[in-house]
Amino acid sequence: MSLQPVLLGLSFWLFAVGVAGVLLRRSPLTVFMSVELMLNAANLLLVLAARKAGFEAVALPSLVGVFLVIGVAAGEVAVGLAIMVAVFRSEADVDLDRVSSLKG
Amino acid sequence: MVVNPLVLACAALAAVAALFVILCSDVMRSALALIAVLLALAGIYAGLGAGFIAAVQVIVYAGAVMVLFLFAIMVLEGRRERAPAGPARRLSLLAAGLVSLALLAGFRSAGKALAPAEGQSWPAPGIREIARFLFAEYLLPFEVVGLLLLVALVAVMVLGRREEAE
Repeated sequence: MSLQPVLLGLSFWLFAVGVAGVLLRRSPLTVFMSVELMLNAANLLLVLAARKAGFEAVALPSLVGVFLVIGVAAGEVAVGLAIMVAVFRSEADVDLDRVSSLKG
Repeated sequence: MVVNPLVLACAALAAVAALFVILCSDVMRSALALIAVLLALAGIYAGLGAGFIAAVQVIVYAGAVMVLFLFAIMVLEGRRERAPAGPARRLSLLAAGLVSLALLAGFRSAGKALAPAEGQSWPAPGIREIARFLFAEYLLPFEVVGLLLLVALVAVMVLGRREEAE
């Protein structure tokens, strides 16, 4: 039994669960966490690709990609949560479908 | 390659905890489940030999990002979400199923391309190799991410400020 299909399946599973969360949940926090799940699925796939290349010099772009994805995700979460707190500070309940104040 | 039982256990933990992330109605429980997913993924990275990525995962993701999440939960605490009902819910389920099927097809073909080469050992590139690469060939993306984080920092401070009374 090889590890590769298991982890490939895990990456798929994490992304699918993330998609389901974004589509099914209306709580902005849960939607954000689902997005994080999808980003992590992509990261897992990048690490698997690096391992496939034997972690040699050709694998480095993949690992650097993981590094950059983590950095971008951190920025995205910071801005997203700040917007969320600013928008929902005055709202009674939290429902993404009712947020229309960001329209121009 | 010998299957590492630790990696398998981490994979199982991540798979189950991911489900909890989207199924718990309590956002705090979702966040704790997400922390479990992130830590399990860090364990997988470590088990695969990518120690540096595992460390970054724990420090940045399970540490900094999740602290942000917990703060946001505490600020927005007590607000209940409205679950989509009726046709919207069915439509969402259908869309999620379709996307998943398309992904499954893609992963099945990717699985063949990613099959591990036999007899390879994985001497993981250490922090030295990664740093050399990051600051030479990937210097521009690295600086762009740094700038992005700076912009995010300023934006968060602007957004988080309470409006002055007019």
